[in-house]
Amino acid sequence: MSKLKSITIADDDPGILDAVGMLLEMEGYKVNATLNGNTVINEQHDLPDIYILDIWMSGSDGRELCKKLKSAERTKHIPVILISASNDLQRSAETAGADDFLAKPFEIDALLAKIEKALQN
Amino acid sequence: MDFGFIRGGGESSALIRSIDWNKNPLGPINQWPQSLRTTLSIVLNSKFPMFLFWGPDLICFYNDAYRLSLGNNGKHPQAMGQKGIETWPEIWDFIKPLIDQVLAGGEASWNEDHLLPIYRNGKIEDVYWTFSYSPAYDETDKPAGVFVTCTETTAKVSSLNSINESKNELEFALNAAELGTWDLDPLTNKFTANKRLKKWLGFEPDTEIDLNLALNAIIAKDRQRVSDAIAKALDFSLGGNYAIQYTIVNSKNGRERVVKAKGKALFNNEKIAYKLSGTLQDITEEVAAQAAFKESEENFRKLILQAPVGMIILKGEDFFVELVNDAYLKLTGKSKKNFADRPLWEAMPESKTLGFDTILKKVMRTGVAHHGNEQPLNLIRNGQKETIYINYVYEPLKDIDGSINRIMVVAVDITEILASKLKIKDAEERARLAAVAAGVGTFDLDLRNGDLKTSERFDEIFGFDRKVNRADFVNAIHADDHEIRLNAHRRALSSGQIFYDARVVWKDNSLHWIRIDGKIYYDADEKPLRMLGTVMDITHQRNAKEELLHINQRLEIALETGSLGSYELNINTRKITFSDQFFKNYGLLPNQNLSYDDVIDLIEPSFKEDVVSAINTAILNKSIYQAEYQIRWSDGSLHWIKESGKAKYNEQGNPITFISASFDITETKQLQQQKDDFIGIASHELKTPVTSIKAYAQVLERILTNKGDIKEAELMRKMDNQLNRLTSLIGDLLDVTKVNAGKLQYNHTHFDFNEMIRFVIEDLQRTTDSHEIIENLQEVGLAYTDKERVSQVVTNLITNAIKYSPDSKKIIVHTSVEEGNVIVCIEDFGIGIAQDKLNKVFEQFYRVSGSMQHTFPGLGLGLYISSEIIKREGGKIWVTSTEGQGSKFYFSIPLQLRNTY
Repeated sequence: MSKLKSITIADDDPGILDAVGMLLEMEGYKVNATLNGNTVINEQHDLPDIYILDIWMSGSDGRELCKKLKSAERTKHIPVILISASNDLQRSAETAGADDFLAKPFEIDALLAKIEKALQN
Repeated sequence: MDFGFIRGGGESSALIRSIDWNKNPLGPINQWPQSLRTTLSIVLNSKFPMFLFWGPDLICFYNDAYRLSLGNNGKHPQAMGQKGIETWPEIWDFIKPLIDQVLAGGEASWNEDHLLPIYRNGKIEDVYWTFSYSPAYDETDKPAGVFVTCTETTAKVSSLNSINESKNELEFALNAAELGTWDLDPLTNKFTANKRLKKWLGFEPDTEIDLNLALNAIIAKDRQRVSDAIAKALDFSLGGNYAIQYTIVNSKNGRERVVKAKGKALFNNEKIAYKLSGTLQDITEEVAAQAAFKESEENFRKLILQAPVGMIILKGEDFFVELVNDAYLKLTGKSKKNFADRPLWEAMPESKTLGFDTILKKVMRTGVAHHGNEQPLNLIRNGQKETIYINYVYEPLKDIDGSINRIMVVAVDITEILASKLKIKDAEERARLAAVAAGVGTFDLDLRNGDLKTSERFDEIFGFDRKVNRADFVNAIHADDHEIRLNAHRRALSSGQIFYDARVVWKDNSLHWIRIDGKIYYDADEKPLRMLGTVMDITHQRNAKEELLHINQRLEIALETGSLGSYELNINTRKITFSDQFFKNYGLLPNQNLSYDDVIDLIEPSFKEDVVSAINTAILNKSIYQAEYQIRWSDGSLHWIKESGKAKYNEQGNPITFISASFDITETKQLQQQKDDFIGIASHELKTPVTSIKAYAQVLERILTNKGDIKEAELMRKMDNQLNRLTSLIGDLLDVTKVNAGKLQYNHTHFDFNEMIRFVIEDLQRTTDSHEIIENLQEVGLAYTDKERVSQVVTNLITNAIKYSPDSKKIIVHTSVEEGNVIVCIEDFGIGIAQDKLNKVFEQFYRVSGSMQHTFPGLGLGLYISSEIIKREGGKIWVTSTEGQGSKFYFSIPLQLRNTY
């Protein structure tokens, strides 16, 4: 494991980005955090090993972003975990092609388990 | 023409003269050869019976003497002039060789008393003949015919036969009777006996015996009696007859025989007996049989007297009462004295009038028993006139000699049995009539072999106009309702009752509602035997109920919106008429010319297909159509429409018109959406800060742990737990809001139920150190329900169980399946719930208060939400508890969605 695994995380709440980003870095991941979901699609270089996207963000919807990533040749192999404060959205997350879903608030251990699982596949 | 040879000669000559010989092989008489004429003249004029065969065809002739043997109704007169083979077909095989022999070599033959059965007197008779065959020569001295002289010797032979027969019979009889024979010379006391008797006595065949020796072979107690009897027989004045029964004993092997001796004395002129001779018959077996018969008869009598059923024995032609038992007396209400030694008709005059005498006489005559069932009998019993019903048997009783002189009557009082039987019959009949009158069909299902009997009305309700088998009935049930039927049958086997409503599809595809209502009958071993029940056509009730519901809904919505639009479509002509409001609702100009297809085209494409299919299904199923869909007005704006509809049918059940009512529900939809949005936004907004705080807390906890500040890290962990509580409170509040607004969404999927349970347990176990959550899961299989909601309930119940059992260490989760429902039980060993509080735990904001200063956190919404979820899933939730020992929370939900209609 020479190279660090990189994670792109999008959420319009800075607190979440800050805290979760910190936790993931503590766990040894390279984190790229963004408040604007749409920038995920425009990323041209250094594609991450995994995306963590919030569903309801101002200006974007994590499910739509997921669909786009999954339909683009360059990114379709990269796992996506959708997160949301609304736990009713699991199904729509699956429909959008997400590899996993996690309801907010969550235990960091639960998130780490899902990340590891997604990266293994 | 004058033929001297046949002149005279009696009847036979006359017969010959009358025959038309031109058609005969012999030709006309004037052409007959002299030899034939001469021979015939001898035959015809002889007084001795004679017969002649003549010529190659062996033409027959016979004389008057012979004619007698031909009898009446036999061969005479057509035998005269006939060919031999035609005359004697029955004996031709025997006589033809004789004739041939005579014709071939001229050798005569002689037979005596020979049996030649011939046809005469209308039948084949055994006839014995003594006869000779000799040649009759023609002019060339060659045998041209056979001359037969014969005598019938039948009478002589048969008398001889009968003598022989009787002689044989006598010998046979003596042998068969196995008689010993003896002679006594009273003067010398010399005793002679045949071999058999000597053998009986144990003497060698050639032994000389005298009377003393013979008397010694008699057992001691009989000996004097025999001596006296012999002495009497030898006394001329007493007639000389000897008859006595006694026992002899074999001197060699000691075998005893009971014998019957019979004899007669012969006297000389001085009236002195010179001979006493007779027979000895072994009657040992007969005596034994008699004794046995007597004994069995005695036993039989005892049996009758003790028998619990009425029995009486009648004897002789007058039917004297020989024996009557107590049960019979009780049955007839008469005393023993009444029956004593009297003919039955005196003892019971009433029974003669009923024709019993004729039957009794017949039984006595034919020896065939007579059985009578449910025979009414008018009696005076215990001083009252009563009608009783009896089953009875007249059984002929054979005496030892096989004759019938007695009849045993067995009578059983079945009045009560019959009365209850009649009652049942009556009730059955009434039920049947009621069923017919009510238009109810009935069925009778044999649960052992599946045989089904149905009434005509039953068949009719299922849409059959002829008898069909059970599978056809089952197949007639609507595919979606098979589950209902199966579950009902399954339940019935344990509950004993069956009741369900289902749809049946007739051959014309029309849909009918039926209601099955029945009961199971069990045998003595409690095994289900039959299922009896009724079927009712409840289509009208159903439709009426739905229509009412429909009308209510329509009114409700119409009142709500004040904007009911409607149209009526003639299904055959496609003619359609609209109300004014319809045009308004659909954003059209008033009285615009529209076809049905135009109306459909107004529907947004994403809804169109579903709407059309819903309408068609409703028309086919005679059900109510309901749909919500969007339409686009001509100005381009989208509007929500809620539409209901129903077809009307003619008497044949064919749809005629379809009536639709619709409302613009755009505003309602918008409000709904706003509400939903608000709930979602509130949830989102509340949870977002919690998520950040929680994440920070976890960061801090890790940092502190890494630095080794264990105490501080523990504080962060506690804060994290408090945040979890806050999260679940927010979640509960949102769910309650949704439940109360009816906005809790359900997503039904197929999933492995136990797997879901295991997942929940695993998840909770991860954050629980205080309790072990134990699985006790039975095979459940796939469920079709809302996985998220049900796991939410399980989570809630386990969380509660942990919460309310602080002093115990385990929680047990049980699952099982019963009648298509999965039952989940969460068992804890905690503080329990007081009996009077049990029903309150599922109420909103109710909280179980702990004793011993325990307080339990929470808003008291979890069980309320759980119970609402379970109710929505068509299940139920309940609890059993013992205070201080623990609680068991149960819920059950259907594994498959029930048909909600």
